[in-house]
Amino acid sequence: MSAQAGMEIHVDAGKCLAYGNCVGLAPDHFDLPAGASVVVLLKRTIAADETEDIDEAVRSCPARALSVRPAGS
Amino acid sequence: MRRIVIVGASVAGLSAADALREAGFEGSIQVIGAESHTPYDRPPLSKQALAPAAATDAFFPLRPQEHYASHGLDLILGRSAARLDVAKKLVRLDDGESLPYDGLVIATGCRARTLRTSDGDPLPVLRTLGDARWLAAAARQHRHAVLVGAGFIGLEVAASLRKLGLHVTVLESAPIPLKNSLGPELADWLCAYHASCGVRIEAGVEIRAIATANGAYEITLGDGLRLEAGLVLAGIGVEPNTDWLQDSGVSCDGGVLCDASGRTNVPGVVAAGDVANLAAFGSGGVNRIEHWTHAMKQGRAAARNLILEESSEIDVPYFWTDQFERKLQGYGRRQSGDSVRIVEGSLESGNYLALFGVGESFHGILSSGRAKSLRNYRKLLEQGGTWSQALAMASSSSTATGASLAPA
Repeated sequence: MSAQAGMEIHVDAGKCLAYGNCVGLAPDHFDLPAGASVVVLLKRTIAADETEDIDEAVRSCPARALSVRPAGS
Repeated sequence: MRRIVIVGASVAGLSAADALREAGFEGSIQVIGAESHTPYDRPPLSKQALAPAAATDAFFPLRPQEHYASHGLDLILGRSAARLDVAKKLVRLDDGESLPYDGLVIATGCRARTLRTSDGDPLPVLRTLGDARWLAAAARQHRHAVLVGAGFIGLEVAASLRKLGLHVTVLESAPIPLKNSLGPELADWLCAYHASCGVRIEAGVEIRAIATANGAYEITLGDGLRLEAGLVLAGIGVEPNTDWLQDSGVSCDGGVLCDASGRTNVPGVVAAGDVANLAAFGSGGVNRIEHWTHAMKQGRAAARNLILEESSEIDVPYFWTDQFERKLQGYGRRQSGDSVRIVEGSLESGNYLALFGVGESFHGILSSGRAKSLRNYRKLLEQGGTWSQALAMASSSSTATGASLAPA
């Protein structure tokens, strides 16, 4: 599923291996504080001008821990 | 186009398969994997697979098991492509079976370059899951390890073995390891960091002999120094897997020659990932971008080129590496002669953001623990921004919080 404005990001903490690729691509949404073993979701919602970066972040996760979903689902 | 064959059950190969389905391709997709494992990811092999708590059968799947059925992907595992006939559009497998195709994706990757002992036996390498499982077991049976080659993966392995309690020596022929990728200042920083974590790096050395006796190795260096180790691993680079394409008509020279969309000289045949050489046809140059996200993106681009005839640009290369507790992430590529500018943090703290460039050319950026600052510089690199623009971005982000980061 591709990101669209109004959708939400979901992080599967069981899959995340703290690669941190998402942090470089979408720093308003993701953070990986020093020593953290799982990425921190800073912002769940996706704005219209953020869909490209979020899609890139989802595809760039080797652990496939990120997904986007319609809000509230 | 009804039948697409993807040779290589890799990041590039599976990204191509997914992109085909996303684009609405409803024909058959066969994915050939030379190894018998279901497709797995390689970055963890030098890190998580060697962690103290790692299970001996640790596995890192590229896709969940149900993905293959739900996406209609026919996995052909444990068999490799042996020959290609572009006139008849057939891939011949090593067991003699031939697979017909209408479209072909070449994603056969690279293999580790071999280094041999003085008796002619190949030294172990780390490329496959089998290699990683062997290494994880061997690391628990030996106290001393010698790694030949101080590349990023070699140094990741050094860090992993050190964490398992081994004495680790890394031998490198270049006077400054990773100087081409990092430049001398950051390369020195990384070597000093490894030294502070207990890894011994011997750079600028020549290996004169590697002998084996009583289950251990004895390595003699050019200056006569001798090292003994129970565990030796070679990490001296890779070679593209193009042997099966010999005489096929697909142009190969340092990899499969293709453009950013994977387009080769043969219609209906595209290439992607580590095996792809993006250097201009006939230039004799080698421009293989051997990074995970490039394999993913070029696999997708090649698939879209195959069925939609879409063209893509070469994206700004991205890589990451974990070195002990430091995570390095970089966009672009440092070029020979570039100077480096630390624009956030400091080398002393180990937490920094570094720019590479020369004159007005901005070539690359590297973060150690500053990933959140990367995005705007990546976009600047994508736009072909200048060194002045990169510096302006750095000063605006350091002096004003929340200020616009648009390039000057």
